[in-house]
Amino acid sequence: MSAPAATLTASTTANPGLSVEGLSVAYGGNVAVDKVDLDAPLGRITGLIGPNGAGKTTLFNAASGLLKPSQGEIALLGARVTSLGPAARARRGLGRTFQHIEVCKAMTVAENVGLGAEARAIAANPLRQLRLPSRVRRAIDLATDAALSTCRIGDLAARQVSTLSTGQRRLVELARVLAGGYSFLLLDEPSSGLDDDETSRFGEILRTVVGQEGFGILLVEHDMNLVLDVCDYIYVLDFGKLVFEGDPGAVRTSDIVRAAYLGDEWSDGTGHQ
Amino acid sequence: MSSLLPFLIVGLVSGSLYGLAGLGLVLSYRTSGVFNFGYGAIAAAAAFVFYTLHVTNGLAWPLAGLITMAIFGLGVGLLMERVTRALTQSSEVVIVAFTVGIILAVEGLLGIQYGDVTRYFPPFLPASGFKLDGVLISWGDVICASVALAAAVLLYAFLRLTRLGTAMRGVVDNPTLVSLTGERPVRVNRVAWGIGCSFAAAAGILLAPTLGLDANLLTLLVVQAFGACAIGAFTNLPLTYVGGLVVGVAASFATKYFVLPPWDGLSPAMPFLILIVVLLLAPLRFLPKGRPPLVMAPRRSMSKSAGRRWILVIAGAVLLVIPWVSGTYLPAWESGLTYMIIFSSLGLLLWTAGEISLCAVAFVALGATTMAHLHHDGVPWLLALLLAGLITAPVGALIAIPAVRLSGIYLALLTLGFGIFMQEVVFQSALMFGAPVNVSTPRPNLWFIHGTSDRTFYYIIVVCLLAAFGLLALVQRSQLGRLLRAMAETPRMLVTNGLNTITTRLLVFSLSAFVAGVGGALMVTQFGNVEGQNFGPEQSLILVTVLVICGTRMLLGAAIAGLLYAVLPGYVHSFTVDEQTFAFGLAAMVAALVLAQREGLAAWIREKAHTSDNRLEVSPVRDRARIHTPTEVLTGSGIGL
Repeated sequence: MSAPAATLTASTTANPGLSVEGLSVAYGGNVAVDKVDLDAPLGRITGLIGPNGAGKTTLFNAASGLLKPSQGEIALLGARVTSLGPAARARRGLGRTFQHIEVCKAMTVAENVGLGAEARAIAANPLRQLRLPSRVRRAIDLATDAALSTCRIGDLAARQVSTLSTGQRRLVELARVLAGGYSFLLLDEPSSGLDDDETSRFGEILRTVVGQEGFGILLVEHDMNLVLDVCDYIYVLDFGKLVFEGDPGAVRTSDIVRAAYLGDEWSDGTGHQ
Repeated sequence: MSSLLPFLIVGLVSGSLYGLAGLGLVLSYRTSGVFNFGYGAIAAAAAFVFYTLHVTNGLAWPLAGLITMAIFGLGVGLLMERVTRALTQSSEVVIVAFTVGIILAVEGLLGIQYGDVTRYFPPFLPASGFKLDGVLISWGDVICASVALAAAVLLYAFLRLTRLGTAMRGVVDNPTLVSLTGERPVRVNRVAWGIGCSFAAAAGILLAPTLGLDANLLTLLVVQAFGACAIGAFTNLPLTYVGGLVVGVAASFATKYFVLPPWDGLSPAMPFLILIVVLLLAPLRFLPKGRPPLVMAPRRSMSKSAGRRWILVIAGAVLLVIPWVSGTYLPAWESGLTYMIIFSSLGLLLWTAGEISLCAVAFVALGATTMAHLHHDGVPWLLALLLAGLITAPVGALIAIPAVRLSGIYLALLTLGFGIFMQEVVFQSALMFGAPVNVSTPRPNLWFIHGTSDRTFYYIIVVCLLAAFGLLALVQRSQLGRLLRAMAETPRMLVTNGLNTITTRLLVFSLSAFVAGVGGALMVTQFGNVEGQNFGPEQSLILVTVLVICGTRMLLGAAIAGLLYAVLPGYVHSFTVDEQTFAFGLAAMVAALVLAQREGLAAWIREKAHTSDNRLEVSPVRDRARIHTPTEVLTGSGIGL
């Protein structure tokens, strides 16, 4: 099923977050993402689901600038960013987390959470690498505290990250992008490695921050319950192509999604035993 | 054309031997994941074994060669497989330390056994031959080239036609596939290491007659295979062989066209120039991926503990009284402190930023020569000291530019190449040691302090040491230190948060070069004058291994390394340089194994403490070196698109 063009244009003009048009990424001759159109406005949680190898992470990497797309356009907050590198996109307000958690294990939770905001405040200024202005430093400390309490990991602030569980590390990563003050977040499988309790808490946090701060989230997720629970709109990828899009209700009842996902449920079941 | 022909032939003959060595290196690297910097040392050792069999004991050369390749080569290969199994999961710093340890251990051992002089290695291959276009081609040359070509063809056939070969080819393409092929990973690795070390032995034996029997020379020359490997992108075997030919011919032609100093150094530096060009220009997706950096287990911060304060107070008191108690050993302490500064510059890169540098000594040399030139031009000592550091810093930044693209093994190779290039070409230029100016500096007189006496000069060094350590401690605790540690562990995270990590790398490499340059400036002042040959690339290797032996703390490690490297040898006269080199090499290998297995060892010690009667405990080495099972590979990390 192709994307209805009318919806796309309508939402893009309303509250532009991240939008992707005709995006293709090829590894050698292998097309991992094939002419995908996707629109994730601000103030909403947009889901991106699909079986293993569907091209979700590739799309994320292309959106955040780590990968060069072979064709297509990427726009952030209404401005074209296709030719910018990952750091430049981050400076324009695009934050992301990683499927394989990227944290500094030898540092404390608070240091890790502050690091993202520091990196963004330093950006390309060599002098700021040595020292940030105290005004900026104070703002970062405040943002760090706020993010820690939003993610309810304030009590872990002084702990070494290496002593934390996977679930706690996921929250550290989330807190880091929250403290970065981004307008749009790409979250790559944030619930993998989390237990049911942690997952539902995670969903709550996402809902709260989007409601309060009004930024946009594009969420890649395997946990269907979480996706159906928190997302306002969902895109389904299979073999690099967009096969379905719609609200959670439509996704729940769609035969196409069921067909795409049966394979995934099965392979998940045998893979993680 | 006929004037080029002799050079072409020399180049093709030596080039096919580089190709042979390169094949063995790539094969063992790709199957085991351990890049063997000590590969040339194995070749050198084989040449010595061959010499003992053939020259000393009069064995016929084909028999001696066969025994060396089959028994020595395979034996070392099996040993390497067994030992490096403990390293397969570890970071590149550890692997570099271990394999550079092999170089030092072998060099030291050969020095102890055979003495340090270059021995004449009688040519054992026939010198008679035939004429082609008026140029004599000896049968020896033909045999060399044929042996290499035959080995390459046999290897190719083995990889194409046998089941084990097919499995190995798969592994060379993608090492994680090993257990999917149904072959036992250990068997594949054993065969790869066996072939690799036999090829090293063959290359060593065939190169020895032209080079003489000199451990250093042989070690560094077979290392020319690195250039061949680079052309094969560290994966492609036929291209590696062709790469060897290219390197050999290019080096040979360079001897024809560049005969005047400093450019006559281009020929020996050629493989590394090729390596540098490939590493800088080749698209990264062609190079095999690196490994995660060495991440130290968190330590409890001692900064506020009373114990640490007391240690610092005692260390400070010892530093102050040394000139009054050390007697004639004071110069050893002076170099010790200077080396502490130099080691700290390396420690900053290795333990804080997670970057490997094998050219530290080149920066020290640059600092020393800059100091001497500035002094010659009448610049006051203290200003010259600072300027020596400041002028060295941008050269350090030069290394940071490739470091943006490369890390781990590739950065190590590139910096080694840079060190060799500096020694062969830049050292001889008027900018450094090649000038009519003598590279010398007298002791300084600063206001009322007369540095001409050893005691006062010692205190001047103490002040410099405290300033350098203070600066680095400040950096480590500052925001920049945090960024560096984060860059070592998760550079992607910093980039996707908007940081320009190029600047961060430029800063840390410049800072490191600055400190090393100041160290060099102090060194030339202490000794009065220095010569280029004291700053060869093998010195850089020694510094890295000594630093690794001394633990992973930036400043504490540097301090211990300075004591171990420069002060202790001053006191212990019974050790020869060779024995020292051997001991450092061996200690580096042990230290690397401990670093690689530190988690396993810690767990093992805990287990032993708790359940001393449980005999079923698996040894940490075996447990850690386990290769992933197919299920782990399929479901585990890194496959998500």
